[in-house]
Amino acid sequence: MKRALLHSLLIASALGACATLSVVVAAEARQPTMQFAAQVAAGAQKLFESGRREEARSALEEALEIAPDNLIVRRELAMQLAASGETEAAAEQLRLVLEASPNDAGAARKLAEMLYAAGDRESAVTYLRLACEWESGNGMHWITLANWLLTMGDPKAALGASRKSVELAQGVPEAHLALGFSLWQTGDLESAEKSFLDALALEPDNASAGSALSALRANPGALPLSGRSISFESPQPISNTL
Amino acid sequence: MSALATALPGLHHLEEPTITSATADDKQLAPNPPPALLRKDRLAAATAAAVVLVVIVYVRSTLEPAQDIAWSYQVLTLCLVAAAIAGRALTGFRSHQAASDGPAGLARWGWLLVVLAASLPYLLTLRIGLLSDDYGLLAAARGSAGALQAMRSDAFVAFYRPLTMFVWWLGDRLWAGAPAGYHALSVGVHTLNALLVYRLGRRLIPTAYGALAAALLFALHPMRVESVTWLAASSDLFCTAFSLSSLLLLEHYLSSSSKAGRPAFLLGALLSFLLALLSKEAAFALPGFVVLRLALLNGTHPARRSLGIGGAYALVFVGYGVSRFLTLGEIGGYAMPLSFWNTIFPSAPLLMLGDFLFPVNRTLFSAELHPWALWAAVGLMAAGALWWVRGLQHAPARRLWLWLGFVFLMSVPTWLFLWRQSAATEWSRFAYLPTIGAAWLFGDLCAARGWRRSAPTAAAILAIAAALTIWYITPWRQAGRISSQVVAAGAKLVDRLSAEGESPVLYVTDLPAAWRGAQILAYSYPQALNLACGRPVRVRMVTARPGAGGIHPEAMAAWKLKPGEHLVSYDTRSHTMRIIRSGRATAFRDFSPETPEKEIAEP
Repeated sequence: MKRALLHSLLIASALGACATLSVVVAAEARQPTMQFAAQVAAGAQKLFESGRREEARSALEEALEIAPDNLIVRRELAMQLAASGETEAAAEQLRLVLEASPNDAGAARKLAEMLYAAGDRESAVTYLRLACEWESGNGMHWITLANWLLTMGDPKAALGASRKSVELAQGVPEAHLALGFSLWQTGDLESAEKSFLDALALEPDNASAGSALSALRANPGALPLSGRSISFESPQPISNTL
Repeated sequence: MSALATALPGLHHLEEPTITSATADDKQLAPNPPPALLRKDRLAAATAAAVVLVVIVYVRSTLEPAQDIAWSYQVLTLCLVAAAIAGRALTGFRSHQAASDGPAGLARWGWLLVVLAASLPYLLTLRIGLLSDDYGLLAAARGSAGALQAMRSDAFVAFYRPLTMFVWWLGDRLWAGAPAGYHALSVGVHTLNALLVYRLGRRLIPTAYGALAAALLFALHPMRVESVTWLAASSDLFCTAFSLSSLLLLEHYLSSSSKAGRPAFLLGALLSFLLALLSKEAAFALPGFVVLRLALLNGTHPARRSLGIGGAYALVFVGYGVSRFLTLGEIGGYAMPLSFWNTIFPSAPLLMLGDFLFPVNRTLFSAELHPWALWAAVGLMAAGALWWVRGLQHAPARRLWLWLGFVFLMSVPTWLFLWRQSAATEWSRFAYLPTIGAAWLFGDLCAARGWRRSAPTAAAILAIAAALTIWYITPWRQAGRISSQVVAAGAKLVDRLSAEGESPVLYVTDLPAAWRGAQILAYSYPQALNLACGRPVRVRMVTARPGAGGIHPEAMAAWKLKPGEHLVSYDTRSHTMRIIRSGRATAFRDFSPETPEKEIAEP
């Protein structure tokens, strides 16, 4: 009996090693190496930047035919589609990226921005919340979320998001600005004024903070403008890293 | 029969009698199973081991250690350990009477060989300079008013290592913080550790040759490179020195017949344990090993006495814990998320054992050699591993459990944060202390096989280990050169801006973080500039790394700089700090948040 058990352990260890090998090889076969994917994406990016957009897109689509699970290539394709104004196609590619890589905060953020720009604000907020959750240390996501919620007329939710953004990005004036607007809209005028002052302390010539503070002091009862949009997007639309 | 031995079926027939001293171990032979049965079992064991080793060679040499398959290394090591245990139990214990313990000179001059092996390769590290966290530690020591303040410094952030901080402070007073002084100290302590491994081996392994083989493999193994080369990792060296001293004094206590000397030995052992804890918390599992050692190789010592010794160690640990809590205000340590891989599954010891048998620095192999070289190297390592597995049948079970128990227990402190990492180069500092158990196992296998049978293979293994060590030191030397260049470039920029009448504020991005796995600069650049300029310089890092206390690259992109503020990065071609924008924004730089600190292309 003992000998049989030991033989079983021996066989199990060999089988375990073989099973590990098969899983690893299968995982490797599903996706070409990261280096290859990065090369394809970088090459396509250069083509796009030099104006050869069709060639860039063809190269990316060809690479995706060979390796449909390659997320680096698919992300780059989404970025190029977005930059070309094909928002729906870009959003579809980003959805595929998110399906394959559920914790990709960058993709979620980009998809949210596209949806927001297209007017689908509810879905945009949903994806941005996912980005906040997956990359919880990034204060920029929270600032954007707070501003969107303010624009959509939900100051209570915006207050929570802006408090979080101040916690994570204390040195960014826009975080204090978003908190100030949220507090103003929820009626906490004293704290709102303090937040605007905090923003001005960080950046004395911040025009938005200055005008908001003046407006608050002149007419505290008036609701602030809530359509502010503070964007931290790169002005360069193409980015491998989202 | 120990509890561990009884836990596995089939080990009863190979159990050797309890030993009272290590030298008595091999003199008593266990009964062997019938030859016909043995042959069949040996064939099965050899086949299984060969399959597992071939798989390991394939996985190690062809696949990139990406995060999603990193677990496979641990699983493969588990398979190897399981195959070895089953094979050992099936094929039985076959004691060799060592025909000879090697030349007589080995026992007499073995210590000299150990000293040379531990120190000579690391003479290459003496001119490396400071790297990464080294700057922060030296700055904290230099900024302290006295030794006590240095020992209470929070330079280790979430850790309590007053003795290591004292050494940094003392070095700054004795040799003005010159890096060469600290490097010489590290080499010296590593040599001392190798001698302690040898001395302990002499007491626990039957022959001087076996103890020497263990000490030489410990000294020369490439997994030691990070600990000896990177000064910030010297806490592992001190912790190991005091841990081994504690074990050696305990052995003296157990074997001493002098009533007057014995309490001194025990007190010395406990004091050494305390000093080990004050060097690095990695020693906290030592009482567990002491209990294991007393249980497995108890000899004539009564159980009550063993319990007393274990209790004394536990008391020291409790005292240390209270002191740590009072100083830090919490237990401290990395706040890593608990997961299957670092809690339920014994990831850390398996990873350490796997990397000990297969010390592959994949970055260096792929960057500097033909791809086939990796295949050849891993194949060669597999041949060495096979020698280990085959040799298990010649070593007594109790000591096998003791050595494996050392690896297992001493890796417990790293379980909370060493997971899914390759210990081959980076992170191998965590394996410095635990893998001493693997070195002793190697020495025991050599001793069990005898000088004539094992010396050629042991010599080949040691030669390969030495060659790899020397090769693996080279990226650290390069990292040291880059680190010095980056710091000098920053100091030059500060001087230039100061000469122009500014009191500059620098926001630093895109610093070279590593060179082929060797640390260059991470969080400590502000302290490095303070040290280089000899005065406080206002510097903030731009990094997406959590916990770095820096500014996120996305925030920096929206940051409006004031006059006197500059966003700078290191230009690897001109070796200067390049100003990206100053004062009011003049140009936009596309920061990529996922790669704020990347390996640079060329030195």
